[in-house]
Amino acid sequence: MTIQNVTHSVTARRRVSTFIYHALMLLVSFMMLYPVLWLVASSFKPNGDIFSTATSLWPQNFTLEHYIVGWKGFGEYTFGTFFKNSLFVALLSSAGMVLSSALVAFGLARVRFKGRNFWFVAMVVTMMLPGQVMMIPRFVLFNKMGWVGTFLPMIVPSFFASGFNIFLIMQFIRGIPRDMDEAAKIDGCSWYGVFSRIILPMIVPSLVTVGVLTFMASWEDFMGALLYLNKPAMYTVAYALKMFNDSSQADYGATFAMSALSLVPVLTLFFFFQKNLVEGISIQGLKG
Amino acid sequence: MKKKAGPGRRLASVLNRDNVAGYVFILPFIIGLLVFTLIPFLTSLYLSFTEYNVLSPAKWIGLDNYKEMFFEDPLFWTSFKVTFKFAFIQVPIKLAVSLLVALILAKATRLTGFYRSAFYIPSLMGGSVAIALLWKQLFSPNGVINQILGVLGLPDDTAWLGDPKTALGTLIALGVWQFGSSMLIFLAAIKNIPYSYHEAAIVDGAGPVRRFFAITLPMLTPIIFFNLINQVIGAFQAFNSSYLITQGRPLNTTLYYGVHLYNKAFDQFKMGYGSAMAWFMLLVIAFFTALIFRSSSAWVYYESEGK
Amino acid sequence: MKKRVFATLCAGMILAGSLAGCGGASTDSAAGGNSSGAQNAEGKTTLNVLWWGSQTRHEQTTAMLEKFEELNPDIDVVMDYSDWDGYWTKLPAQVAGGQTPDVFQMDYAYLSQYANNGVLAELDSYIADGSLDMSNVEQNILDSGTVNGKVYAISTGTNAPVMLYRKDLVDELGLELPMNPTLTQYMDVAKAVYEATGLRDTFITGCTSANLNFYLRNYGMNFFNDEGNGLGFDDPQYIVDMWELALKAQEEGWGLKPGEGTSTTAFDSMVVEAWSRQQNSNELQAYRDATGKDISMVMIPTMEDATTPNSYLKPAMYWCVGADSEVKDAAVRFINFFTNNTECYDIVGIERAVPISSEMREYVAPNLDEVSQEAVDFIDYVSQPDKTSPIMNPDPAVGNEVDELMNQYSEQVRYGEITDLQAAAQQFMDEANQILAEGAAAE
Repeated sequence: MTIQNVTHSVTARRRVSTFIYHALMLLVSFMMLYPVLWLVASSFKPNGDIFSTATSLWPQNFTLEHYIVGWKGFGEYTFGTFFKNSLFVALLSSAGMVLSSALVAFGLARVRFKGRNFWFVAMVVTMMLPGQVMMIPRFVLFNKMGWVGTFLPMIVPSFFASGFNIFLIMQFIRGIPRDMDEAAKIDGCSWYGVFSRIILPMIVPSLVTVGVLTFMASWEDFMGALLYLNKPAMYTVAYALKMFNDSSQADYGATFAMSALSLVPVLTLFFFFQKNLVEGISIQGLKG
Repeated sequence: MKKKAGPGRRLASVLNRDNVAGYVFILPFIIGLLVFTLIPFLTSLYLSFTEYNVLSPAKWIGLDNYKEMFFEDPLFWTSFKVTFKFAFIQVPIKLAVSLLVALILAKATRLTGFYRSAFYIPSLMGGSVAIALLWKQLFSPNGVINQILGVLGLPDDTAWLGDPKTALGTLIALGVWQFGSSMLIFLAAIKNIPYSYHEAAIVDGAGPVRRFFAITLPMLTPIIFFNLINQVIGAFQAFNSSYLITQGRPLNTTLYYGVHLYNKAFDQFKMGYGSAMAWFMLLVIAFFTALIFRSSSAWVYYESEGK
Repeated sequence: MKKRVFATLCAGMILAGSLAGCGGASTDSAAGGNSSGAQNAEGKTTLNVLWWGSQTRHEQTTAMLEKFEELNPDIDVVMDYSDWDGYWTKLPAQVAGGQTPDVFQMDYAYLSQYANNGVLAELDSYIADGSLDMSNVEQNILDSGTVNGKVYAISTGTNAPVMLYRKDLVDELGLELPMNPTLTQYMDVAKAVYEATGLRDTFITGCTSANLNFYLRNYGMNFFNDEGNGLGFDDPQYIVDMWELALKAQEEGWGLKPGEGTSTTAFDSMVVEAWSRQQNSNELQAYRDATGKDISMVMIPTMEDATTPNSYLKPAMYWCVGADSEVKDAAVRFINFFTNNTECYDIVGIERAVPISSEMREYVAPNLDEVSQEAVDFIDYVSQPDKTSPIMNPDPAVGNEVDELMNQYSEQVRYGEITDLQAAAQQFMDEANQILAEGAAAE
């Protein structure tokens, strides 16, 4: 066997395994994509067909009616208004969350201050109580603050970090060797300098993750909208989506059409941000 | 660690003391805790000792709610067991799947972005009306799953969501299928592993398998730990899938603790009882979280502390 | 420290507040929202109205309320709405926060709970002084919104419980379901439809307290007694009969097997697995739209040896006024508008069921579309003297708990977990009576 032959068979084998990899991944992708395909297909079927042809992914009688009826929204407010409101709430919340959680996580992960353990435990405990029983007391509280009927209850708490996100970023920071901040401190860097110049650039992937997850959670937040928004001009997409169906009436077509549309911003965001998450490109700081 | 205390930099130096800087950094959390969390948190604790139907003021009844919970409400224990079963089956599977997929998708190929987005989609659709309807359709007696089983020559007439033997498993499958958030977190963690570590190992002649066990896995343990804690808490608080799809049926085999709590608090106007249930669950979760934290020193590797 | 915390917080709030203002896109002031103050900036009375529904209702109600504002220039209506499930979280939260809306929709199942807790305003005085004109409304309809002798709620329209069924299939088989079928007639059709199409019955296998109630009403009883402090019957045999029939239906195949119903929604079930469903008369249109099938309706099946008609006319839903509302006069003016104004019905038609005022009923009749006409005809048919008996009192506050208990027992029976039906029925009754007695004592 000549050398050429060997390399040839190696590339061939690699090609075959690449092919198998992609074939498998595409198959699994289809399984994962099935709900969206089903959703989109159903959104183009007339209401009478949606369930009688539920197993088919191709609409026999194609219709755009659900998009037209759905987009119309309620009264003078179209889904345009609801999308704008959702974007407003979700963007602000995620910005606030990333900022505040990064600060808190750094404090808890790096600075050795008195009471650190206490606050860490307090943070973990806040993750544990089911939301359902906090709902009414929280509503009463926000009501006393005069915030009911505004977006504030859905945005402001994000500016004060959450246990989940603090903990997540902390875990990333704890994966970074301490030598770097020790060295920087010896060079005269303050804690604030260590945070902004050394740690922050290294935890970008986790900040992106927190941003994306917060955006999604905010985008899907039905309960907040239900409790705190009290006029149609302020409704968000998550809230408006529920209003096509009732115990005595259901327009699943419109629900699906608007659900499909509501996925567009979050999917775009996800696709855009996931590019940041490719193995072994960043962290230049550690090299050498 | 030496502090600079030059003239005019007194404030800066004070702010740089560990005990001050720490509090400056965590100030947002403390404010949030005091303003938005503590009051509702303590209110719910107080409510757990009252009879409170939400519509009129709460009445103090001492430990009656807790007594009813432990001794008079058989569904309390049923839901407790269901939730345990759910958590103990779903968490390990979901954790393993999300880690595996993240490892596969960490490498960039031309289609990686597409795969990642596709894999994330089920999580995007979360607890929506659409996903509930779809899941019912998929697993209905003449749904897609049974059609596939039929083609493969397997029994194809199971009412997956209606059979007490399979209903919980079907909901667990839904939970596992929505592994996107964990996957995303793992992806971020894998990206954070310095490539120089791998390079050094390659120079030392380590193959991919050894590199995985010597570098990738240990470096990922903090995030595995995080996802574990997070998923355990999430599983104990599970609500959506049962509430939207089965409402606890059949025969209460999918009656999550959270669903029973919600039924009591909102359908039967027993917010006091619901709060008592929530606080008991808090203790249970705290117990398991503490266990996991205890164990973590044995298996979680922190670069910042490991050297 | 405290001061600094407070100052930071204030700054944050101001910042966020200004942000919220620009995103609201609302015509009125963003902050404050549900202000309890009765007058707004222009000196108008602010009336907060809350309801549940779906797109059609939101559209029509918005238009109707705008009409109301036009006719009452001194009132500024603030509208808010949600879906059904969300409503029963939203409303309690608002009540708990002291933000009860001025006017809101109420359901039969929750009426006594809200009335007994002092959430609802009494309306008797407004009816007495004529500001709420009920002169064209029959007494039994007023009674349906009465709790402990006082009127708390005004029905939005009249409904009747019905069996919706697949008329296309029944016609195809050359069968017929009479308007007022007996249980035997109904079961014969059920079996025939099953044999021909495989579609099953969901009524007989339902085994809920509502189903049992229909059975009991044949013999002049109700599921709950009139006082709401116990069950309305004392022979467990009624429950046993219901269970035995259900078991027979599911064994023979023409009744839905346990667990099968969980895989579908109410609407698609009438396409894929069931040929009939027990619903309300105003839902006909929704079922036709959602299924695309020819669906029709008949009355609830009765027993051959019945002593009284088991069916009843029921309020579809109510309008209520918040007990703490500062603008009760305006609220009552709205309810009066909804009850008696033709301009209201030009917009809403019979969307909230057939109008309770006989005058409005006559007014809407000629302008209705075909399906609505069917619903009105149906109510007219049912309204004949021998077709119905008076509706039971609103469910007691702990009613939901007892309903849930019934479901628990029935499920175990249908899955074969319970075989001694007699003992189980007795046990259910003992537990239910205890819950009801304790519930009544607590009020």
